[in-house]
Amino acid sequence: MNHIPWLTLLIVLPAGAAILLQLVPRRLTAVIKGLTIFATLAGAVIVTLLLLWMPGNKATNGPLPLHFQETHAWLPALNATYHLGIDGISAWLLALNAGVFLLGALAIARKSTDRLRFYCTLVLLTEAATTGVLLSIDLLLFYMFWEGMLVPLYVLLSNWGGVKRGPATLKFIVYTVAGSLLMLVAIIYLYVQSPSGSFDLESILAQPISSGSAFVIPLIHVTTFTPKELAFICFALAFAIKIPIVPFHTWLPDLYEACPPAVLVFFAGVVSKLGAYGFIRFALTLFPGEMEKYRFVLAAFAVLSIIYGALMALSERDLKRIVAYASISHLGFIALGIFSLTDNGINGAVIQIINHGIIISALFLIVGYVEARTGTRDLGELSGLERRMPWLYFFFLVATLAGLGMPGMNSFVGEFTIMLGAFQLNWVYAVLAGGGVILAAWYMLRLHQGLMHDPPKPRTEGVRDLRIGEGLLLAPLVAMMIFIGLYPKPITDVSTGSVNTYVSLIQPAASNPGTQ
Amino acid sequence: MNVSTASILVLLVLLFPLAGAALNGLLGPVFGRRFVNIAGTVSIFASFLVACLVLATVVGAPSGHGAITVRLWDWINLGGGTNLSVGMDFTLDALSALMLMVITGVGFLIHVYSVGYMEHDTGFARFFSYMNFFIFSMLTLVLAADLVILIIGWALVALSSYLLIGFWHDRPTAVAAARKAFITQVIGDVALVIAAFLIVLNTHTLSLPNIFARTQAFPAGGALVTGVCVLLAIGAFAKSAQFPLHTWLPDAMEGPTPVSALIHAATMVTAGVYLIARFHVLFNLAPVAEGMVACVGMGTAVMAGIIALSQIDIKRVIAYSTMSQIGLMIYAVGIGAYSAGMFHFAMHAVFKALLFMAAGNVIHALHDEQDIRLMGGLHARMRWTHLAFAAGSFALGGFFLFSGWFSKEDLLGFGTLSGPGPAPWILYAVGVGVNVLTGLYAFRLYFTVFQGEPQTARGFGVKEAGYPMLIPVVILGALSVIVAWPLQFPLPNTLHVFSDFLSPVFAGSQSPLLHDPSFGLALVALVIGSAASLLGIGLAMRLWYEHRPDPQVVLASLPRVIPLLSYNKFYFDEIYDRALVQPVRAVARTARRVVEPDVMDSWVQGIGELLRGFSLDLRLVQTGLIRDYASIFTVFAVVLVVVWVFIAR
Repeated sequence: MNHIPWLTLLIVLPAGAAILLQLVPRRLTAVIKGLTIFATLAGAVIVTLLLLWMPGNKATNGPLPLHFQETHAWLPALNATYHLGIDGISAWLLALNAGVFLLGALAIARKSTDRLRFYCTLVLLTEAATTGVLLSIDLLLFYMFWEGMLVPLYVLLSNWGGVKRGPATLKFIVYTVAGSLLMLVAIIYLYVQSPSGSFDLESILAQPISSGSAFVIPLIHVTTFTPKELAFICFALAFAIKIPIVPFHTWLPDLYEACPPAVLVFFAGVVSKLGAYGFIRFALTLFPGEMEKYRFVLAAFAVLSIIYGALMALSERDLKRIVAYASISHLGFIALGIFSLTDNGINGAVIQIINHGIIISALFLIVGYVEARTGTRDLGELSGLERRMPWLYFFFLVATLAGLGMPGMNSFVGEFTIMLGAFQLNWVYAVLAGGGVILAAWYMLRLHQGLMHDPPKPRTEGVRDLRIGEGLLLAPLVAMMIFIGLYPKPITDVSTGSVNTYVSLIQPAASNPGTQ
Repeated sequence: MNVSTASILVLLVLLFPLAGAALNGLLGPVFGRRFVNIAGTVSIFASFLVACLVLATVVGAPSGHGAITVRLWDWINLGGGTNLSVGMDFTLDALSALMLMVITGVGFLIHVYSVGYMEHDTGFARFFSYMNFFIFSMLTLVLAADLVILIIGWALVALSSYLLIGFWHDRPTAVAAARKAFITQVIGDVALVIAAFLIVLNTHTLSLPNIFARTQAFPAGGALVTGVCVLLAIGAFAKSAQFPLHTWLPDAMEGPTPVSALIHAATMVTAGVYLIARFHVLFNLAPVAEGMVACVGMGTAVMAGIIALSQIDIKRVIAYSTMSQIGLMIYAVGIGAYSAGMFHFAMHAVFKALLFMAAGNVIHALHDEQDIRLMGGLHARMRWTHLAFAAGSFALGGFFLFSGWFSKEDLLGFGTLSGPGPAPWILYAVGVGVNVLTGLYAFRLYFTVFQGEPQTARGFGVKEAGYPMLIPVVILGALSVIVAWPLQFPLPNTLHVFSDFLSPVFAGSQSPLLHDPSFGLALVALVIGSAASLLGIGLAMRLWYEHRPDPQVVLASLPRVIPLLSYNKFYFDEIYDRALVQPVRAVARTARRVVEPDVMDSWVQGIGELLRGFSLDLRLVQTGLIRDYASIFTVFAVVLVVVWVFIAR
């Protein structure tokens, strides 16, 4: 089993299926759907197996303990390698990735779409790219997947998006590409500066890069950032745009509003988490000193995201935009956990990345079902659905509670540990995040009760409850919300070891247990 | 009792109500009303039987071995410097056994009552599902032996309360009340979570027994332990509807009456008292926090008592009475009289559940009329309900030898023992005043509703409630007379079965605010307290018996400001609306209308516009004339040379 390149297989599977799809005649929609589901399902099965094997698999001895590592020469002239590997953090992100793409494939299969083959091809290519992002250890490889992901996404959004897709997609693409280009500059800087002259994260980490002397602006002699700090800022900007952190978030609500529901499931479910992953995997490892220096500023932006997203969710009337801003608020929690630079906070961030993927997918599916039945997303025109749709009510209730961080549900685990980490950073952050939790109860209940309770309105007369297929899509998500809330240990048992590695890069003292 | 027996008991007591909730929710709509009635009540009765077993094992255990903690599974284990390690831990001891008995015992009777009350409601399956789920949540809360698990139970209780307040989800008032209650609870949850952070960062554990064993981490009277206790108290205030987080409770009366009896009188709202009693080890180290708790409790008791005097909705009168009585319990645990507080909790659960259910009978009989000005003369027409309500009123009013008398006098007797300084005496005097108030509002309600003549035509034709609604009321009516007799007498060194039962829990540490009891002082306090209660009842009788003025008229003789404050509930709803809700809404609106388009997005668009403008301008450079290109070339060459010579050397 160790001779099979599992990680490469994870990338090749969706990409290969995308190529294979071109051989299927367009009118055989069942075959196209079946192949798409098969490819995503096979990926999910492999990831599950990898997660089960990981505890027994011996990790590498490098600065980052990696499992199932694969290294091949890729561009010898540049010393770029094809280096893949996973650890306790990326393993869970991979699981989330495989899960939401499977969900997206199932959601696509449930309804008819025009130009289905092209649509499925693009979805599979997106999966190949996001999987690659999560597996790459080599910076150049990572960058290639990171940018490559945008191509199928762009085509998906500009062809199947909603009314305002044009400006929304343009803003998203230009915004993220601007961020990525900054990151490319920083990657090249690291490549040039690293003594080994390599793009490989492990080789760069093996011999630390000196931060260099700070630029002094000529003539006026003001000391500015060191080159390494500038490189860090480039990385941070790229990831902050991707998450997004307020004030770099304005592409998100418009885009989510224009996004077709099936695409939203994996877009909101995993693409937005890649920024958070980037912070953990690359910013924490490559720039531990800079992260520590700027942690209070970064955490302040995270808290701003939490509060600002919550306030916007409280005042929006469009269902999708409410969920979009709720998502920004939740992503602020994830960012806060990472920026706390504590083991509790980062573990919480990993848990919350998974939780948020589950919750936001469920919420967007529910919003999609409501819109499909009533023809509107305006909260003011909707009410009284509970009596008409008892099953939807139940699933939505659980998702709402998970979304507002109810103890006993999955997101409580993440928010508790994240806020604990934030508390260790400074109690003010934890208290402000607590204010975000209270606002979350407010905006989630506003959304939930607004849709479900009060006497029905014209739009909500005579709507039908969920079909079995729709219910079966939501049921596993809702079950996971409850299960993780009651038994989060399996997740953290896998992630703790890797988190400790990252934290020890920053604060060597923190790895010593028993501090009093 | 060994660990495996204890695990089985814990699982059984929890799983019966949970199974009931699942069965009713999933199968109830299919199998119909009879199935739901049976599944809903039997599950709680089974849980009650297990609770009796727990009680028997705790009582029967040799001294010092009455408490046992079991772990069902590991919840999380992060290790590291903080050692965040949480397990699904549950504890069986005297305190949790007492709570189990009250929750499942009173809860079972209320479930039986609900069978009658919800007879004509189409949502019966949902109702019983939620009610069973509430019992499960409440049991989780009181059994939890780890702070995180306690917080989970704490929030689940709030969830069931939310679901049941908003049970009639077509009523906008009920929906709003449910939301208000839930958000208030979340405020309390956040306070508890932050308290948990302080605890785990200083003791490296969240398991309750371990926290209480590591008190060396908390210097007595220090800022740390005071902060922890104040945060815990905020959580308790939110749950127990104490000032300043009390405004949700009266609105919660929008729920069906059995809900008010079970959740908003007998069990959930007393969870704050339980929490402080459970954390008594920490509170005993923080006299400042204790004093704060005692003041808030007594303050709420007075405030709610005054409000209860002028309300005209039968359920709201009882709700404010509940708030006032819980204020007394909070006061008791604040001054360190933990078993007295728990005793009043148990007695109050009995007579307040009774009052609510009897009120429900009245409301039912009058076809959903809740305005007491339109009631009256029911004593002859609803004889059993009347008798039970009278018993409950006497117990609430603290009439000699009724259950409320034992517990309230016991509680106030401790007030004379608290010290130091004059502040405790002021609180005690206020407590005596609360006794007068209690007699007044309890019997104002009783006389207005049951005595005199019916005020509407409908009042002449009322019929007594059916058996499912009557039997629980009568049982609780009998209990509210006799239940205290074998348990406790409010004088030291007399009868103290109840406090002996709880003493293993509270014996370990003693509040610095409490002196040793003295018989003489207690006797004097007993006489004063009883006289105050009698005074209140007598005044009520004089004011409302037979004369039957407008129920609000008595306050009119006082300075105008008091009736105004009382009737308007001290304007808290208005103040919170203006000071908190509206400002947050305004900020949110501003964020959407101004900040998002004009600040957050404008700089992004601005960069775009800038680049566009720049490229438009740059286009003009391409003139196609050689001389223009040559001059640009020359200028840049000169600039580069200058830079190279003067700066980049």
